[in-house]
Amino acid sequence: MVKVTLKSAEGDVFEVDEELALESLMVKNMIEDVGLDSAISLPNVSSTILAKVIEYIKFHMDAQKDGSKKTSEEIKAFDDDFVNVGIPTLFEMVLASNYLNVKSLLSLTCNTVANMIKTKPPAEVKEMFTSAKQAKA
Amino acid sequence: MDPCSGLKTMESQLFVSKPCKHALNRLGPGSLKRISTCSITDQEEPFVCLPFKLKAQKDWKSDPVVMKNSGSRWEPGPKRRTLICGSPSGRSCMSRGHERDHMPGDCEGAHKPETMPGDCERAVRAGATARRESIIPSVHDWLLEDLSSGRGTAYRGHGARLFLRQDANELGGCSLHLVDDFLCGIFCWSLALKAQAPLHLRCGLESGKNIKQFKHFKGLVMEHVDILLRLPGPSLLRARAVCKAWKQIIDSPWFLRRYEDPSPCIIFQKKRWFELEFPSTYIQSVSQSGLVLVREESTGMGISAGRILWSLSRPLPPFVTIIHSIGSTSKVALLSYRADNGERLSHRYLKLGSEVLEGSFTLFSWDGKLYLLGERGIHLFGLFEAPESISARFHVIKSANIYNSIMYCISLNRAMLVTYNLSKQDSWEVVPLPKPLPPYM
Repeated sequence: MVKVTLKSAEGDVFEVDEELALESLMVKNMIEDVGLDSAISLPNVSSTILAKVIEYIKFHMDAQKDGSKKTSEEIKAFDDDFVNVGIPTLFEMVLASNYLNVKSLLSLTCNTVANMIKTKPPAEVKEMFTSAKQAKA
Repeated sequence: MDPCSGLKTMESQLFVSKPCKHALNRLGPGSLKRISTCSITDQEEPFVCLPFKLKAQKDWKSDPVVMKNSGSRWEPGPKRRTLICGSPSGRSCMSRGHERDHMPGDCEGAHKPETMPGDCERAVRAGATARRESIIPSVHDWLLEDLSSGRGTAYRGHGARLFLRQDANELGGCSLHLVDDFLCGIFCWSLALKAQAPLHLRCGLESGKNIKQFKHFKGLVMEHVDILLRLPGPSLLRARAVCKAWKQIIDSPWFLRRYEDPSPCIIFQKKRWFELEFPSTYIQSVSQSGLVLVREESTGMGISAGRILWSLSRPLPPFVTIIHSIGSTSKVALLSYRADNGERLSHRYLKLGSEVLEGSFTLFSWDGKLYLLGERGIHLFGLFEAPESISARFHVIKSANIYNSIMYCISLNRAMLVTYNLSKQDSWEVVPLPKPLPPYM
């Protein structure tokens, strides 16, 4: 199995299967351009977030494989648990999934944020986004 | 009679002679006996409009002939009628049945025309006496908004007899015509698109593929757009208040093309929304970009413009030039004409709510019901309570109107005016035309 080396913002190195890495269109393009030899640097993604993204992709790839015993309830439970994190982390995941161009994760995280701000008054939404921005900075 | 009550019960069309440039060009000397338009207005007898000469598009020579059918005789049509003819190439001509006694001043304030073609000027002079009602500013805003789509769009009023047209002309400007026949007046103004920097900017946005190109959306994070696209309509409206960047992006045509909401609702400029099925709304007119003009009965004459958030514009290919829209108490139907380089193609389709019907239709509404008249199948079928057994005996229907339960249809190639009583079975009747026909002017 061909391995792809991903390098997070902190410089931590993640070795993942190529198949898994190709789920990210951004990484896929990078591999096509640069090749597999050098590590792919992802300066916009922190180690914790990258680990989470890899966890997500791994789980869903396993779930999609033939012979998988995971039910849709289990997948949904995983997704719910996956996004059940603090707002700053969630926002970072939105950013990361957009940067890495992982469609399913982007959809999941964006839907979560949308559901969160759906019923909130504008002031609270603004507050939420500002604090998330500050937490990141 | 209270004009508003007429609006409630009658969904008649403004008398619009709708031949486009090509249709007019086709009307050579051999077509003298053809009827151009049949139209019915509130509290009026039906009348026909006979073809008129249009030498050059902007060279409006003579008034159309309006004939009124009173019993078996044909008389000159009612006075103080506004006739509008618009060509898709960007010129609109207006005329009136006769000049008003009182000549008014110019349009005032924000609606004062900056530049005005001669034919429009005349129309404005003739009609600007009308009182300025509250609908004018709101419609004005709406037009400006819709200009940003950069396309010429025809608006046709039903019931309120409001006719609006905007066309991009070769000067890069847009002319807007708002005809308020209801008030016996015409308002007309035009403004150069290029002179309006924000509009121009929005046009740029319209064609842009990547929103990041636009510094206009300063402070906007692309990821926010992904989130906003997933919000339901009412929340989306609220999200406009969060910050300027969000408001701009939500209001942009770029966003609305991508936005899909499972529950159709109308989003207004003025911080309001409601469901499309709202019983007290009445959709006056629908534009190609999904803007709707809605009259609210709860507030009397209140007319608001808004957007329907099921991305009306999305299924329409970019070369759609005309959209015919009709609304009833609960539905909105849209008919689009596909036109390529000015040549009309036969294919049309209708969007009714979320359904898309393909085919060729003439559609019209009356008394809260929508009717579809199939042109090819030569049959009428109603979306609401139309008689089932209607079958026409003539071929191509040019236009159809309903007045007092009687449907008036024009068969273009046979120069016939045919009526059908909707409450009676098989009551087709050919109405005799005036003889001899007035000379072709």
